[in-house]
Amino acid sequence: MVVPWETVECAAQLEAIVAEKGAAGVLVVVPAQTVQSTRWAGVERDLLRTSLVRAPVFFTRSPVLDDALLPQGEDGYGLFGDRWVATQHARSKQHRCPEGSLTNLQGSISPSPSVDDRLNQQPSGGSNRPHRTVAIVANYDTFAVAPAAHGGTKANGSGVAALLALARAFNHVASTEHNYTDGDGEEESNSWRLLFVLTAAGPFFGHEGAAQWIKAADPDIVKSLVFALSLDSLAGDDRLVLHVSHDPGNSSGPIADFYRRIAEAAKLADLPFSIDNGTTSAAHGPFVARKVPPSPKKKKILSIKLKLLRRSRRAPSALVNRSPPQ
Amino acid sequence: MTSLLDTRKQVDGSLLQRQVVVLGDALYRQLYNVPPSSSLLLDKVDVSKSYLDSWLDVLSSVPRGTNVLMSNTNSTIVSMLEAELGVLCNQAESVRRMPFHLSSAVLYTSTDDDMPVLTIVRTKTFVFHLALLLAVVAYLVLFRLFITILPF
Repeated sequence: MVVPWETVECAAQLEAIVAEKGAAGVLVVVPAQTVQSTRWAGVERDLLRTSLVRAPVFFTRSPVLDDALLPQGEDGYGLFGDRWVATQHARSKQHRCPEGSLTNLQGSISPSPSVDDRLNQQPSGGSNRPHRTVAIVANYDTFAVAPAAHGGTKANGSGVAALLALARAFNHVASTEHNYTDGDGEEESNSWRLLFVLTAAGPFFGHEGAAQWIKAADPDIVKSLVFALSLDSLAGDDRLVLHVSHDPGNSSGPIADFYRRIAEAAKLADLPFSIDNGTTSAAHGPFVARKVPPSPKKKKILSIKLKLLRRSRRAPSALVNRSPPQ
Repeated sequence: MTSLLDTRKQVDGSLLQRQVVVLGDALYRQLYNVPPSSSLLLDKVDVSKSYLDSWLDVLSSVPRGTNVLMSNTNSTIVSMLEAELGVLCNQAESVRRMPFHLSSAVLYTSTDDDMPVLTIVRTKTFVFHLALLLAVVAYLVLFRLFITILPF
């Protein structure tokens, strides 16, 4: 029995077909051409989260079947050759994955020291001047109903490719431009570090990879973070959606400056642009949840509160020491 | 969650290049405090479309599902990304592998290794168990007080 895939609305419908026909299995021929289908995404979610369909479900991108079932002239199939992949089903015997570990990757780029810096360098090596660090984060793993048969190009191959391209561009910048020093040459006014973090365990796991990186990273680096920028699902449409660790609308300082600068650059490039203020929708979620870096506005509010607290503590003693009116 | 329909054709390399140029331009201006100008700093932030395309091709063709990565700690894609970061990052100590164990979920796979199958079971967090324990203790204390105070 052949059922057009676009007519399948949920996993329950698949199970109904299996039960009615007494099918021993379901074969899904995934269309190779560019297709957008939120309905099919829902079916995949159902298959992933439940064991509703009692027969094994197979997926294929086999060129032979594509040619037979899809309009002629479409190319681009065969990313995975004719590999056949099965998803879970109720009768399958499964065992727990070995306690393997996942891996975050971290790399950083800083400008090469200027000649003056080299001459003034400490014998222990390296300038002790603090860096202003910007973290660029992207998750590189994927999570889907058939783990070996999906590309995850948009989510989040695009973010990973963008991160690497930025690292490549700033590698060139760092090797050709030096840090700036101010007039007397003592205080460095522009010492920066770009931190590139590729994380595993992405959105489906609440970006646990990013959270684990914050836990394991060098505290000095985390302290020096100015803001974190998450690259997620880029180039899906014309709009550049930016995920940042602070809402620029309610922030001041570097993140507000960056927001202004990126708005200017997007305008110059004639590129629609918006900010994602969500707290968990991308890899910046754990940064927001752990207040890394701390919000400058909150710091200010905290300092005002502390001042008020000190004043209120002083007030009773002032009343006691006040001499009575003559 | 990604979809089976999220294939290489979903991402336009030219559009990705434009978006990365915008990001790079803004970062450069931020780091060097460059005032706004009437053009993008394309000579400073050079983003190659062919570089982006080649990485998109690689990332689209190498399976990198979470359970695939878990079952193989020396996976090809991780080694490739590490090597690339090693080439690009100029800080001697900078490129680090930071392994971790997934604590929020347990993954299951089929017994047949040729057919990667994934089931995920979310586990409750430590905070949830702590909150549950406190709730039970509070309930028992209230119950005890109720028994002892009321004169039956």
